Amino acid sequence: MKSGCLINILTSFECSITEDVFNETVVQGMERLYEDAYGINKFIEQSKLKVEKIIDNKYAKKILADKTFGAGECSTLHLFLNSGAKAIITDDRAFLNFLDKSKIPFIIPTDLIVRLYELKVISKDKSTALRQFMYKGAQDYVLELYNNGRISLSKAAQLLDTSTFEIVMLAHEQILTSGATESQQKKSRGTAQELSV
Amino acid sequence: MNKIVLDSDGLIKLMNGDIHEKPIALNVVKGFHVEKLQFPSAGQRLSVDMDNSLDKTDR
Repeated sequence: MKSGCLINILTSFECSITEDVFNETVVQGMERLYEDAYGINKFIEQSKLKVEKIIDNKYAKKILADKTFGAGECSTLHLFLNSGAKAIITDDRAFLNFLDKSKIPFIIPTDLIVRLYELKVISKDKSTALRQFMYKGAQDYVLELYNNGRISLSKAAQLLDTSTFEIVMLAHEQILTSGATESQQKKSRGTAQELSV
Repeated sequence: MNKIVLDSDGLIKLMNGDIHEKPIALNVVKGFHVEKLQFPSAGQRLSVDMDNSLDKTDR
C-alpha cells in the first residue's frame, strides 16, 4: 500500500539525500526493478528531492570513527552536520540509537506524517492510508497494553471491537520489533513539532 | 522552508508506506487524537475514542 505522503513531505519541506542514499535507493532499486525506486527518481528529476554531494565534516568523522554504519547513514550524518537541516529522517534502529546518544535531532517517518496533519497539509478524511496506519497502530497499541498487563483481555477485545479469542491469537502472534524506543519516539515527536511549513 | 535530510530507511518508508512497522503504527496512534476511525478498505470499523479510551487506559 502506498502512503502517498512522500509527495506532501517533499512539497512542504526542503528534502535532501546524499549521493550514497541515491545509490542505495534509486540506482540499486532500479537495477532490481523496484517500482518505488522509479518513483523516487521521478521526484529527483522534478527537483522535488535534492541529491547533494557531501563535504567531509570533522565532527561526523570523529563520532563515526568506531562505528560500522553503511555509506548511506554515514553520508547522511555528514550532510546533516554541514547543511543546517532541522533533523535526520530515519527509522533504522541502530542509526536511531546512535543519533540519540550523539544528541543529533531525528524524526521517524510517521512523525513527519503526523506533523503534516497537524499543519493541515493533509487531512484525516482524505487520507485512507493514514487511517490504515492508525488502525494498525491502534491494534498494536492495545495488544501491547494487554501483553503488559495494563488492560484486561475483555477490555482489549472491547477496544478493538473484536472477540477475546481474536485478541489472544493476535497477542500471541505479536512480535515486538520496535525500532525506536519510547524515549526516542518522544524526542522524535518533539523535533517534529519544531517543523513548520 | 525547513530542511530535512533523509537516509535510505526514512526515504523508503515514506515512499512505500510500510504500515507493518511497529514504531510507525505506535507513533501515529500516540500522535493523533480522533474520536472515531473508519476503515472502508479493510471493511472494519474501530469505535475507539482515542482521547478517552486508549490514552486514559495507558495512564
